[in-house]
Amino acid sequence: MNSEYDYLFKLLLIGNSGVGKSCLLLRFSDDTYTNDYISTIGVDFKIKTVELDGKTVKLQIWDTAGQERFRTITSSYYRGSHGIIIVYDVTDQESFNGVKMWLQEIDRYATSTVLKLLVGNKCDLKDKRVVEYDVAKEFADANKMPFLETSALDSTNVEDAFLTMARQIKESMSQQNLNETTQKKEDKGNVNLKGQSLTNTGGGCC
Amino acid sequence: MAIETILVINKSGGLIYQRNFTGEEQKLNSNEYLILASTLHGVFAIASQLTPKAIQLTQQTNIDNTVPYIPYVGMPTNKNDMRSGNSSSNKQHGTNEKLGSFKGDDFFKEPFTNWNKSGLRQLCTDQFTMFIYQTLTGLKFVAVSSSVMPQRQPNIGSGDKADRPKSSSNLAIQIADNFLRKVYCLYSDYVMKDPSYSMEMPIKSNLFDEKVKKMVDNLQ
Amino acid sequence: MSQKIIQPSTSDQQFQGKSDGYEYTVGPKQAITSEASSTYVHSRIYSESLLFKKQEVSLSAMAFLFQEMISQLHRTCKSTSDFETKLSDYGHNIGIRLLELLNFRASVSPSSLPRASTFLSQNDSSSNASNTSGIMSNSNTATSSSANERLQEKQAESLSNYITKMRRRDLKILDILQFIHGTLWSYLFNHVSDDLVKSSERDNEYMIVDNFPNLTQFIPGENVSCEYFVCGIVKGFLFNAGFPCDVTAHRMPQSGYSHRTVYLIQFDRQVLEREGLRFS
Repeated sequence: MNSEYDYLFKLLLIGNSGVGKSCLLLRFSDDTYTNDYISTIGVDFKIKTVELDGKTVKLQIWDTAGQERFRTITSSYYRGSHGIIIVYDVTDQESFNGVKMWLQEIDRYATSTVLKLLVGNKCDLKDKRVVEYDVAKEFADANKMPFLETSALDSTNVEDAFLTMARQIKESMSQQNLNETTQKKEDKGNVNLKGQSLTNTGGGCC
Repeated sequence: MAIETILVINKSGGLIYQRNFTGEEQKLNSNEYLILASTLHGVFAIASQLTPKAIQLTQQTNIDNTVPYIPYVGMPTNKNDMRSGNSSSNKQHGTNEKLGSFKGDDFFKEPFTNWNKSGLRQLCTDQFTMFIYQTLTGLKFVAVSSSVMPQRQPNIGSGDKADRPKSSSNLAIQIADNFLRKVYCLYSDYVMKDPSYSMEMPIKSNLFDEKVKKMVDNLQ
Repeated sequence: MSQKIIQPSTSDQQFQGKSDGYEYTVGPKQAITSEASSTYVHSRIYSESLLFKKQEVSLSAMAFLFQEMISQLHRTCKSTSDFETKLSDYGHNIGIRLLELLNFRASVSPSSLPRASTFLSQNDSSSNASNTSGIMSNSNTATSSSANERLQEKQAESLSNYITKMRRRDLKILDILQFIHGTLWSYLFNHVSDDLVKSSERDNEYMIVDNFPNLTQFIPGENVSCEYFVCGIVKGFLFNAGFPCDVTAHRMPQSGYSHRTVYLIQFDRQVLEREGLRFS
């Protein structure tokens, strides 16, 4: 039985093709980086186990393909996700413009209570930057979602991005585990359960 | 039909229950099982996309989605024991094998509708066979069986079910559907009625685990 | 034939598409609304006796309700003992009422009734009559309400006829425990409890054993806290009967019965003293 973790959270990474979703994920899960560009086919998974308030939580991150031709399948991955991270590339204006479209996708396929996070990736490329922090921040505020700039290359903020989200999800799951308190119950001492049956011998003897 | 593994995949593709019954130690670690389950979920979605739209839209055509009831799949084999247990005055206690909240000697007695209308139902390989039962709510129960289905004759495609309705492959699917539907019954009893369970999260109920184990043992 | 009376509060939706009544496209339609057509065809459920009908509650419904009760309590309680006390209090209120109810029911023996279904059914049909009378004319109301009174008189009469002898209160510890073991358990769980045990060490302690607690059968884990609901019922029952006591639950698994539970009843000293004075 799979008793080694208490919670399983589903996080979804979306964003235009080539913004560095897979790299971001690779940095978070394995703390490595690769310069090779391999287009994700369909969906890829990474799992990271974290401890939150003494609970083992597995974050299963669904890294979807950004390419248009996989769109029909990716829509089916939105279902039941706890958090969605929209990634854009700070050096690519087009990918930032695409965020609006991704938000529409979320509205269409995901539940309305899903947590959203906007992430501007590749913030280490300072000289190539075209999307300013303030612009993105303003956009995120207008859409009521937190915003972070990350770099998968030098791992700025990467850990933060995922952990903030995990913590928020955990909080929203207010349901406390029953075993938490009841397991600690010590057996009440001074209890004696020895005795003789009264049902078979007949109760009318007294 | 010996069952090696039972998986329960929630409607968003997360693995919420996994157990091996062969007694060997786990071949894969938990992360690998999670990925396997979610990949299966994805493949399932792709399979639905592959299903011709015409079939999906016109459901009342000659495709029969009813699964016949096969008696006592996964139930205790000692019928006499069951019967005497039922006739005795305290029938609640009659059998220690009580598997769930059903009356009589089996979970259900009628044929039922298979809701897995456009997705994957069975996966045959040289090593194992995998059966998938999907509920109306999108929950998936997966059984991996070590028995290998007999090879089909190469000239028979997948479309001519009418030619061999009694083939062993079809019977195996029906048995598996009956069995997994009962696992679903167990799920609705021992997981849904567990106050400490939070929806869509990993199943930790030892009762559910025990009963599933019992049912798998009964099947062998 | 379904119910034809259209209540003033009925929404428009309901009589769209019906053959008579108001239709928006045509205007009011002439419908034959004679007395005959407006007779109220009431459900059979009213003519069934509440007393002798087989009482069944869906186990699933009960389990879900109980499950929600547990998780709700769990959210609000800080400690296990707090949780157990609160859950026990819930049961306490039920136990207090059950003493009255079950004593009363035990007084009416089924054999004393010639026709089992007449006992409560008359009451129900009379209340039906008063319901429907509101829609009928005034003169009708007057007659039906007087008929109603007559019926009630008749029913009160008949009730006293049926109970020839009220069951006497249980005064001895053993009697009341037998009542719990048999009647209360049968009423609550549809079977008598599996054992009634007197402690061999302490004279104020008794135990009721249930091999397969119905209510908590789907709740996993070793913890016994959820059983305190039943403890509360027993406690309330005994308290109201004049046997103040404390009831705790303990799990004692036996082969095949992993949920086997022992409800330990510890009577207050005064109960034993009274028993000693009266019956020895």
